[in-house]
Amino acid sequence: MINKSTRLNRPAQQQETMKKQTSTKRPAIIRCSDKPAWPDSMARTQQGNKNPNCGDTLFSHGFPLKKNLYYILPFLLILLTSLPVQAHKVRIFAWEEGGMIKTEAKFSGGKPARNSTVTVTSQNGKVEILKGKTDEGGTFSFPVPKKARDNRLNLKITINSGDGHKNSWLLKAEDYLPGVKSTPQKTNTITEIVPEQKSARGKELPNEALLREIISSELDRQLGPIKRSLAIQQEKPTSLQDILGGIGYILGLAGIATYFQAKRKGEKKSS
Amino acid sequence: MSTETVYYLEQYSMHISEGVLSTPVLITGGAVAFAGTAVGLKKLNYDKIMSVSLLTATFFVASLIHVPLGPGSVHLIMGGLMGLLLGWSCFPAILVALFLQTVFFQFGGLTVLGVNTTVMALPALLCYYLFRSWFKTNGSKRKIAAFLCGFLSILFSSLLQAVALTITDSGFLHAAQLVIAAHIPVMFIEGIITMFTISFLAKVQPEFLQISEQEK
Repeated sequence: MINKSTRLNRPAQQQETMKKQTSTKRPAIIRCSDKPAWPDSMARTQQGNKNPNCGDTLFSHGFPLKKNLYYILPFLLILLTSLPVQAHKVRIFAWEEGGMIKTEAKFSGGKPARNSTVTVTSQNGKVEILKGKTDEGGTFSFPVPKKARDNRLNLKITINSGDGHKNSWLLKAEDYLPGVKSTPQKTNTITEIVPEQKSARGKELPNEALLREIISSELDRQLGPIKRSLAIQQEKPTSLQDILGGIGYILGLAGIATYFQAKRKGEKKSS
Repeated sequence: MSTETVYYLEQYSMHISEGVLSTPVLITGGAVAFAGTAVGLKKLNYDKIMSVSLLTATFFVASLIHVPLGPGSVHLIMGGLMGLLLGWSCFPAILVALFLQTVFFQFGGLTVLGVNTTVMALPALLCYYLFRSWFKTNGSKRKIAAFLCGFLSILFSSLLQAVALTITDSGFLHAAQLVIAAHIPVMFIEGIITMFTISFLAKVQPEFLQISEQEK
């Protein structure tokens, strides 16, 4: 028996105390409150000397709470060292940049989803607009489809990596059609104001349409990366709270199950 | 090795997403998971509850542990361990863990919960029945059984997943083959981890290995 426990490489001091405890005569019945110190309880369970009085606890199959903790500990350690953690799924992001709709697909963990099918449909998924494959970097871009521009469709962009992973991103019309976004009233006010400015400044201003185009293309160029990171940030990463929350639910369910089992046990006894 | 294989090696997961599988596959998977859970709950007795929930928590967290492997990383599943230690009770345990993973981490999806449960729990149960007798005695036989459990549970799981994908759409056949190829290194990793976990438990917590034996 002692040989078995020395395998666990416990400090010499503890082993000595254990020897003492095992050599002294034990009372026939040990009460539950009798210090379940680690070496002692270990010796007890290995002798098969289960305490009949401790039968009605949660851990009645022979090991006290403290030893359960020893079991959980390694897993907790693995859990803590593996943070930050990421989920295993595919994600797709889409944004508009200079008349093109750009999409980027990634697996969680940051690996690009290469050679995966991207399908662009209307929001309800009924009208398929176009289909394509992602490149080596997981990106796929296409010019804003005429159909979508004309009907001001909200686009549902779906990625399917082919191995059972699928996800989609909803690109709203106002997000990729900045010109169309503004309501008719607004465009009216703009057209009203612009001629005034023109008359005031005279010939200094170049062609209004050209100016508009230059500004919008420059803005597109500069805002592109911002739009991209905004899109990517909308995805919520897995947090420690989620993990602990999940474990909490599991313990809660265990509690409920214990309650019902205990009730059943009680009914059996009374009947 | 083709680039496609490398790509699948990089991203390996047992969770099938929402909207991939056809309705008959979803219903079949759901029915199997339901039956398994019912039996598992019936066999669950008072003494086993805490152990089952401990392993549920382990399974829930294991998929977040990424093992770096070649160009990418894989996550642990622990199906073999669940099967060996829990027997039929691995069904409710895996169902609960997968449900929580869906809710908290958006792994898989609610409609595919049944299929995903079946894909992971059925092989675990099979391993339990295959190796139960090897498992009773301490020694190298138990270690081999533990390794094979980890190894085979992943093999059977990937086969089941491939079958589910192929039945839905025969175009998936090639993808399904790649899914299995991608799992090969994972089988070894799971096998080794299961073996070490079991021998650790045999030293520290021998009673734990007998949980599945307490079944009526």
